This record gives sequence, structure tokens and C-alpha cells, in this order.
Amino acid sequence: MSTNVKFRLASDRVNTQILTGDRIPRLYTPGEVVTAQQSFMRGHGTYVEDDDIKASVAGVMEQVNKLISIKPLKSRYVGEIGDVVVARITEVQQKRWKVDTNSRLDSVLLLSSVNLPGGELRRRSAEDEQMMRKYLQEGDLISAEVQNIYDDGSLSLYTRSLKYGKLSQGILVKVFPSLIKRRKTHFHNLPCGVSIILGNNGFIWISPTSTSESENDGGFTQNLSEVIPRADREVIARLRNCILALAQCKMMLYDTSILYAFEESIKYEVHELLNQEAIFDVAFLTQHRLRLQEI
Amino acid sequence: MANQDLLSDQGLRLDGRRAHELRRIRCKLGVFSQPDGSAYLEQGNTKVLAAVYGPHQAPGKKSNHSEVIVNCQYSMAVFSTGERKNRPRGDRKSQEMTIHLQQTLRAAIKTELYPRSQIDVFIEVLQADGGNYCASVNAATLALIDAGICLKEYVCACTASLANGNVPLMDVSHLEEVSGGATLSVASLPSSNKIAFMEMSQRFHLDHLPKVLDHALQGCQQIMSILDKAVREHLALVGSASDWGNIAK
Amino acid sequence: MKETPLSNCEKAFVVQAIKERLRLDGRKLEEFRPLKINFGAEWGSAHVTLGETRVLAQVSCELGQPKATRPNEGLLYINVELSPMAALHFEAGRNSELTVQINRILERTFKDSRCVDLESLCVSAEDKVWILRVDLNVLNHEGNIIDCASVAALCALAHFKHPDVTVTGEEIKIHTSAEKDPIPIVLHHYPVCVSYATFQNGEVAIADPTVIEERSSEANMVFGINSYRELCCLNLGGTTLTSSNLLLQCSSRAANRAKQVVDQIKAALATDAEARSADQSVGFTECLKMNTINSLAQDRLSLRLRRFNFTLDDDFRNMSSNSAGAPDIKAEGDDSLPDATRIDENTGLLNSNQSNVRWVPEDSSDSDEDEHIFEKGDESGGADSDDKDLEEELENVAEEMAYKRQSQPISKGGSQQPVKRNIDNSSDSEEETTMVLG
Repeated sequence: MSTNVKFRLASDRVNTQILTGDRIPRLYTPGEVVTAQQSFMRGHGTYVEDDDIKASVAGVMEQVNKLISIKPLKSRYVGEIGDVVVARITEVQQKRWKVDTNSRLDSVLLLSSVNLPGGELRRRSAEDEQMMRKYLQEGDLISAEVQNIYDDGSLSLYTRSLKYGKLSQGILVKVFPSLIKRRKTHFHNLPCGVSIILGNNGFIWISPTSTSESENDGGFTQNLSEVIPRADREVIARLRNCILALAQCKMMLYDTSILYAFEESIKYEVHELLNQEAIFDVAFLTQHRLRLQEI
Repeated sequence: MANQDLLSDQGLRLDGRRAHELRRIRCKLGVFSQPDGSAYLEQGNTKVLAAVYGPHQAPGKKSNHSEVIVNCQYSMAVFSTGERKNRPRGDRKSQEMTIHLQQTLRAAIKTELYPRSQIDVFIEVLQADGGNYCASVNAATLALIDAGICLKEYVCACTASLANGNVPLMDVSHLEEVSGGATLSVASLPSSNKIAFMEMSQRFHLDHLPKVLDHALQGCQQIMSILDKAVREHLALVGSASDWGNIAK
Repeated sequence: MKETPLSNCEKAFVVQAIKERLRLDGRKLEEFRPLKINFGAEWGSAHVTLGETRVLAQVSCELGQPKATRPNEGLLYINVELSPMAALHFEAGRNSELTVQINRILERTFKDSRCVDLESLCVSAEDKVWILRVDLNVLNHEGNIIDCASVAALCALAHFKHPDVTVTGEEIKIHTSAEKDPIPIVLHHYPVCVSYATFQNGEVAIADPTVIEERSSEANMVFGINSYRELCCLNLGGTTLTSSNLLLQCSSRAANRAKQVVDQIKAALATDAEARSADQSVGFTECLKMNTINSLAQDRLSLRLRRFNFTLDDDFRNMSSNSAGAPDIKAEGDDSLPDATRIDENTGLLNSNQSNVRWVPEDSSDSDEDEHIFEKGDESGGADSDDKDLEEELENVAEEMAYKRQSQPISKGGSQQPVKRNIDNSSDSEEETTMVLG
């Protein structure tokens, strides 16, 4: 049996630098003085020392009136109310679930902020508390929205909408949260027959578009018996590789960019998308199309 | 004494540098996709990888309500030294190094911003050729910046030694470390000119300390400008690929 | 057990005090606690106290194989043990961060600086060398273990003698001390550690920090330094930063301190050698005897009272005046004057061992019924009353005064006697508390 093995020298590595545009805003690095004027207020990513506002992260300045903040290009997920997140249950506690959202502290999903099976609104009884592990147990993936941010920065989530709830068949792709573009909607049904949830926290969920719009069950059922045809699986795999390709080239992820990347990748086999050249080619063509569109 | 040979009559060192020259520093940020921040740094033949995870929720019993826990792990690859090492970590010297790194990084990180959290810093020395501590600190700084963690400023480390009894040497290599005299390692915050950590061993007269310390601090300054340049290049590369995405319009 | 966290108010108090150049134990910023060195009966055992921090060191030796890289050098191992005996939060047998740090600092100070002549410990190259082990047991942790441990290690090493050997061919014979005198170790230089803790963003450094100071400080500096002003080890680290100026200042101060400490060690060694040659009994039992319970036998306990307001009985009023005549009128005129017996503000020093407190009416001839002189010292007789509480003392005074007041004839027209307490006792030997009744 023979297989093809590819060795790549470090010097042969694909240079992604071509993707760079020529417009570079002013960059700040930690310890650099942003402004010495007293009239400004310091925001995130800055601190005051000897009357100067200094940057504490490496990134670009953002100014809202008198408020100056420096945004790093990459960081842990910093939640905002209304964000859509894909998250994983890590712990079942009294009246709440601990959820990993890739943020600085664990998030919570309160029993009172989920829709219970049966659909109606009612007080949560002790019985419900005992049943908590039946609804969601450790390791389950959910989609949810950020309801509230506590003082210490931890997030409180809710799933009281039919679009949120437990996720069943599909794959999870993790990218850096900063690569997810904030849009009006983060749920997309792509024309290739695949649904995608772009969590603001950098978790992306790819699943086959469900044909039967599910009945009102509070989003706690998992349909694991349904068999996904091979063609759908290949599409999902291709989409995953496209997303990773874009992420590797540090390109923003949103419906259009993913769709373009998907279309550009058709000429490659799914597994070929793991090659550096293919990754770069797809990313380059995608970016080209996006830029054309801009003009 | 071997000390005499460290500097030739022409003022050149064993590897052809002058007394006040650093070794070549090459670095790269964001080398891994799994950690929140990562960096690779070469300082001469010393090669170090650093990975940062976090800030993330600290485990219950260690959790601190007022500031972040900085957790370091320093390990040297078994093939990093001339003689194969038995254990990559866990011996007294690397435990000490871990403590020192922890202290240094805590001095630079704005710890009060991340209560109840933990930051893990993993350092792997791939090749050891002197100044391991310094290369580790410099790599860790880059990794922390890559992870978007708030720092007071760059924390840079540099070594300095003394040749021929009176000429201070900057950024000492392994050969100079073993054949020469005492080596001083300093980690500093160069722009505010503060010292975060300092360590030295072997006999060394106090009168030489100011001179050698000064040299080490100068080295830190130079390293900072090199790191700063690397960070800016990295930012420009990443930022423009995403068309500065969420950040600036 | 977890270490009890330091409360915020304690920390704030220490920091504030240091801002005002004060320390909790009354030392100056760059003052060290007293260092005491005792040697045990064995060679190479030393007991060192620095303030209340105690470390016991014992050197032991055995014959063993040298390292392949250095076949003609002996080996030196240093091991610090922090047991729960020293402080409850130390766990026995576990390598805590502190243990590693102390161990490494000592290793760097003694091993890396080549203070012990390891070549002289070679018996036969590549085969047998002496392996020295310094075991340091921290008996009590009251801050600055590292200084205390370094002195203990140095004392023990300087004190230690290893048995003599003769090599005949393959055979090695170890002589007992009766056969041949044991051989002392050769020390090239005498390094000790000197620690400082920094405060106020690294602007102020205090010497020899105690536990509470260590825990509220921002950074710690340890200098391993020998008497020739040579730096053997330096360690600086903490959460905040120090300017290089302070560091250089501290290092030169540390060098002076190191010289003193080394001198003290040498003196202690000399005394020990003298005692041994004079066949006096030496050992820890001796030194423990020497330090017999001395808390009570200590020199006088002086309490300085400042702005001290001492209130006596309600009946006593108008005590502000010293003269005999004037208050009579005043007292009748005004009953509501505040009553206070004062201890002179300027000389308000009270000694606790007032063996002879006397009440001396200033003008005793003026009123016959006031001619009482209480001589308390006579009753109590000597040093037994040394520990008498000051408060008790004052209470007694108040009672006696009250008694006296009652015994005064009412025929005097209700006139109240002004009382002034004059306590002047600036002299060491003779302290009299004088009470003046007008």
C-alpha cells in the first residue's frame, strides 16, 4: 500500500501576506501613551499612569466622544447583551447550569431562563430541579443568547426562544471570537442545504438544515436517530474546512464570506482543503470577491 | 583563567559579537491555534515556545476574589541541552524558574482586572543556549500580548556578565555562561525603567554591580524595541487580512 | 492547613505605618533583629535565632561517589525543611514554593559561589569523596527565614569537622575522633543572606522583615553577600517593581550588614572553641540554661505616658492649682470645675518597678492632717513588686486619696484640697513618684 506524504519545509510555507490591504490604522502596544490630555476618559484596554492614558493591550484605538479604549485584535470572548452564543454545559447545579462560553469566567444558564418541555410558562417546581439533568447534562451543546452581564463579568444566558436550545446533530468548529463579524442574525440556512450558527463567542455550529420544523418542545429533544445522507455530510465537512481556512488566514467570518469560500472551494476535493495552497487559494479568491463587492 | 578569553584583543566575543551586542532575536506571534495566545522566540540559538491559556475561570479552591492567578509551567525539552535531560520539568531548577517566571509576569499583568480567573502560561525550551530565563520571559510577553491580556507594558529580560574583570557583556550565551564569571539576569519594564525581577549567582564584587546592571537594562530596552516591532508587524498582518473587522471602520 | 489570610486592615496598617517610617516592633527601617548563635555539642550543629525566627542546622557527612563530570570534588547538599512546627500552614514533606525558593537561594549562595573548598573533600579521585549534607530545620517562623537559615548554614559549615581517613591501597579507614583529630572544612569566604522588603511602589526598603511585613510588602530582595563585599546571589521579585537606585543602596547596606554578621559568627566560633578547649560543657542544653526565663528578670519596663489624663474621685476638684491658699476660695465658688490629677506632661515617665512610691505633700506644715507620707516601697520590699501593674498602682493611689479625703475634718468648711501629682523620675536609679497635696 502506498500513500502520499507531503513534507513541507518551513521556508516553503505559504505566505499569507498577500492578503494584506494597504490601509493600516494607528496601532498601539502595551505601555504606549495614547494621550496625555486629561479631558479624556479611559475605557477598556487602557490605564492611567502619571496623568497619561496608556494602552495595556496591542490593538487599535476606538473613540466614542471622550471615551478612549484600545481593542485588541484577539482576546477571550467578551460578552455583550443580545449576543448569540454556542456553549457547552460543564456542570449541573441547583437551579442552574454552568456553561462554558469561552469567556473569562464560566457563564450560567438559570433554570428559570429556559423553556421547559410542555411549553407553558409556569413556576419552576422542585420536580423540575430534580429533572434538570434530564433536560441538559454535562457535555451538551446549546445555543443561547446573553441575557445579562454580572458585575464580575460573568454572563447569564437564556434560551427562551424557539431558535435556541439544545443542539443535536452537527459539528462544532472553534475559532477565535474576534473573527466572528457581528451581524443582525447569526443563524443562517445556506443554500447548500446546511444550517450554520455563528456564535459570537467563536463557536460555530454546522448542522444539516432540518426539514421538519420541530414542534413546540422547548428545544430539549435531540433527534439522533435520523440518518444524514453522505452527500450532506460531505457538504458539512467542506464547510468546516472552508471556515477553518478563512480563520487561518484571519479573515472575518459571516454568511457571505463563508458562502463565497464554499463556492470557491468546489474545485477542490474536501480533503484537499487541508493543504496550505488550497487554503490560501480559497481565502484569496474569497477576499477578492468580497473586495469586488465593496466597490 | 578562562575569563580572560571571553573578549579578544579586538574586542570581539567568542561568537563574533561585540560586548554590547545582543544576539539575533527572531520571533513570531500566534503560532498555535488552540491556545488563546502563543509565540515563538529565538535568541541566538536559544529557542523557546510560549503558549497562554486564559484568562479562564480559576478552580474553586484557588480562586482569588481580588486578582488573577498566574500559573506558569517551565519545561525544557529533553533534547534541548547538550546532554540529554532525564526530566523535562519538576527538578529544583525548573521549579525555581517557574516561580521566577510567575513573579515576573505577575508584575507586568494588570492582575486586578481579572478577578476569580486564572492565566496559564506554558513555556517550552526547545534549545538551550544560555539566557533561558530571558528568552522565556520575552516569549511569554509576546504570547500574553497575542492573547489580548492587559499588561502594564512589555516586560523584557536580558542577561549581562563581566569579561576580563571589567568589561560588561550583554546577552550572554551558554559558552560564556559556563566559562565566564557571574551572570546577572534582569527582567524589567523598560519604558518606566522599573525592575520586575533580578537574579544572579556566583561571586561578583559589589562595585561592578551598577555597571553590569546598567548594561542588562540597556539590553532590555533594545529587546523591547525588537519585540514592539514584531508585535506591530503581526498586528498589521492580522488586522488587514480581516479588514480590521469588528474593530475599526 | 491553609495559611490564614492577612486581613486588609492589618495590611493597610503596616503599609501606613511604614509610610510614616514606623514599624510594628519599633525598629528603625534599616534595623535588624538581634541575632543569636549557639553551637551544639556535636560538630556542625548550630542553632540561630533572628528575633523570634529560629533555625537549627546540622551538617553530616558520608563517603560516596563523586559526579562523573567532577571526579575530584566532594559534594554539598543543602536541604531546608519547613515543618508544621515552624508555622501551621507549612506541610511536612511537601515541596512548597517557599521551600524551593529558599533551597535554591541557599544553594546559589553556598554552592554556586564555591564557598566550600570541595576539592579538599576528595578522598580518592573518581571513587570516594566526602558528601556533605546541610539539613536546616526551621523551628519557628517569624519572618525572614532565609537570613536566619543562611547564617545557620554558614555557622554549621564553619563549625563542622569531618573524620580523618587514611587510604592504603584499596582500603579506606575512617578514624574515630579519639584516634585522629577530625578535620575542619575549608571555607574560601563567608557568605550570608540579607533580605529587604520593599514598600510604596518600591521606594522604601525595610531590613529584616517580619511575617506580617513580608506578607504586606510588594517585593522582596535577597542579597547573598560575603564579607569582602562580593555578591554571591541576588534575588529580587514580587508583584511590584523597584528602581535600580534603591537596589544599589540596599546592596551596599547589605554588604555592611554581612560584614557585621560574619564578624559575629567568627566571634561565636571563637567563643565556642575557647569553651571547648577549657573543657567547659558546651551544647544546646548549656545555651538553654543560659537563657533562663528572663522575661521577668529583664531590665525595668519603662512606659512612657503622653498626654495622660488621670481622673481620681469625684470629690476631688480644683486640683489644677499648686498653691495652698488659692484653691480654697475657688473651690467654694465653683463646684463644677473638672477634676483631674495630672501627671506632668513633660516628664510623664512612669516606671513599673516603683519600689518606693511616695506621696509627699509639698507644703506639709501648712495643714497638719495632710502630713501623711505613704511609702509603698517599704511594704512591698524590693524587686518582688517589680511586675506590679501600673494600673493597679494608680488604683491604689486613688483609694488612698479617697480615704484621706474622708478623714479630713469637715470643720474645714468643705474646702477641698487641691492635689497635684508630680512625678519626676528622670533618673534611672532612684524613682520617686511624688504626690503633692496643697
